[in-house]
Amino acid sequence: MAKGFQAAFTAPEVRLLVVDDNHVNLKVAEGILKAYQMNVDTADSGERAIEMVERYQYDLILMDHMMPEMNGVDTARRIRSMQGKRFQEVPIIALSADDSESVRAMFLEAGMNDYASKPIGRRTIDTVLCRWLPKDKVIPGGDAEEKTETKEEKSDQKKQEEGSPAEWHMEGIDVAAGKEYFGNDEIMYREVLSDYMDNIEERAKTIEQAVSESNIETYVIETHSLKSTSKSIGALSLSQLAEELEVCGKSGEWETVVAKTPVLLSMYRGLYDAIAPYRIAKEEEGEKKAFCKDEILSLLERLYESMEAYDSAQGEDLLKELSEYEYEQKWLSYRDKISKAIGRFDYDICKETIREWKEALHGI
Amino acid sequence: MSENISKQFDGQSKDMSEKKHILIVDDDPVALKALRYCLQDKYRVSAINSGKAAVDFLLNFVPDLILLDYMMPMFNGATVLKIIRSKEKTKDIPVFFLTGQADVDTVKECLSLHPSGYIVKPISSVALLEKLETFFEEQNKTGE
Repeated sequence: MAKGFQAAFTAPEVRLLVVDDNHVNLKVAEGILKAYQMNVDTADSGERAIEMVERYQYDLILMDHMMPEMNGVDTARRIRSMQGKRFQEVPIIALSADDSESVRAMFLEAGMNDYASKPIGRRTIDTVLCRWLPKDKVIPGGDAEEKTETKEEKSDQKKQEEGSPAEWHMEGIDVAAGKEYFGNDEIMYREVLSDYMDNIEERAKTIEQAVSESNIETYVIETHSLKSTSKSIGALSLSQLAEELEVCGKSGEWETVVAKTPVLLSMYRGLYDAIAPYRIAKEEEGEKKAFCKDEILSLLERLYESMEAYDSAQGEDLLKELSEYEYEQKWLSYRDKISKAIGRFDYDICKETIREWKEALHGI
Repeated sequence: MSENISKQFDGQSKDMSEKKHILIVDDDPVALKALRYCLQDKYRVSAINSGKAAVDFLLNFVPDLILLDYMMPMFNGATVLKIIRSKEKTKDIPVFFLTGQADVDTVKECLSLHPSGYIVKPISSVALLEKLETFFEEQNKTGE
């Protein structure tokens, strides 16, 4: 997936420190930073970071926020309180999954210069480096002829990160941002995209209805959750608008809600077609096994057990198996009802439908 | 196979499998699925779509940790937490609230209820795993 990444510049004279208690994260950061040919040191605790900072002069420090014992904020405070100009001047960038305003304010207050959202990927690192490395130590590298990246170069780089560029273009979705939320696990990302897409129409209708009935509570809850899920798949503009409208809902600016919700819904529904080509194919599309009452009853038995155990993942697997069979129309409604219930994590409805289906099957 | 399932999900014998059991409660199925995907390799995960269903779930199961959405219709996170804390069987289960981004007021409100922690959604899989891992490590150190 990560093949062929070329940094747009190199900085062999730069010495950089990455601080994170999680060794996997350190490895990831090191891997990404290697392309820039910098001297990269790592520290797996705040204490270790302070020792390193005393010993070496760094051009930049990337500091994880959540670390046991001495966290990133405390470590940054300690560094800033050390005697010597270099301790005041070295840029310290907070790495945090939590970029709420209050947390960001805390970083700044501790003397940190900037923050980057975790998980850190190439794009994040590239942005931080471009912004904070001393300009005189940066050498334009690779094929890049100019020091500043053009838009095209940036987009090429982005495409390289994505693996297969042609496959990954979705209007309204920043694929790289979305994938980062899922640790660049493409399968996981596609699964979530597929679920997101399947829920669009129903949720859009709920929002529409909330507006028409002036149901502020539902409106706020729906826009609130739309904001988060859209952000996680990389639908950033939609997420922003949802956030804006959630705030309007909360503060009673109902006129704005009424005026802007159609825009929100049109963006939201537009994502359906954008995602559709990349949706994970439903099992039904394959070749079907012949209907077999006993096998289906046994699968239903197991599915019931998994619903009793609130095991939705197992439920999904069993549903896939159930979907491999060929059904007469009269059985399809049961299966579809089960499929919907599992998709909504509605265990009781699923169990009820299984009971009904089993009863009907026993009758034949 | 079905025997495996029932073994694995026998709520009483706390762990036939060594995995910690995490309950996720969120009214948004997309969020539930995303969180479940992130956690399912490492943890035994149960995903529940409402506060009411979570309370029912807790009659039969005692997970090691609960990720509880704060903003849900009907039974919201605060109500569910109060119920959890009021019952002998569940009162010590660590609960992390899930809150939306930039909701400073909500975060403050959440914290006033003294959950074991809170997580701002959406959260990356790496960050979430790390957060839980850190929490369980700390818990081990302090002997629960």
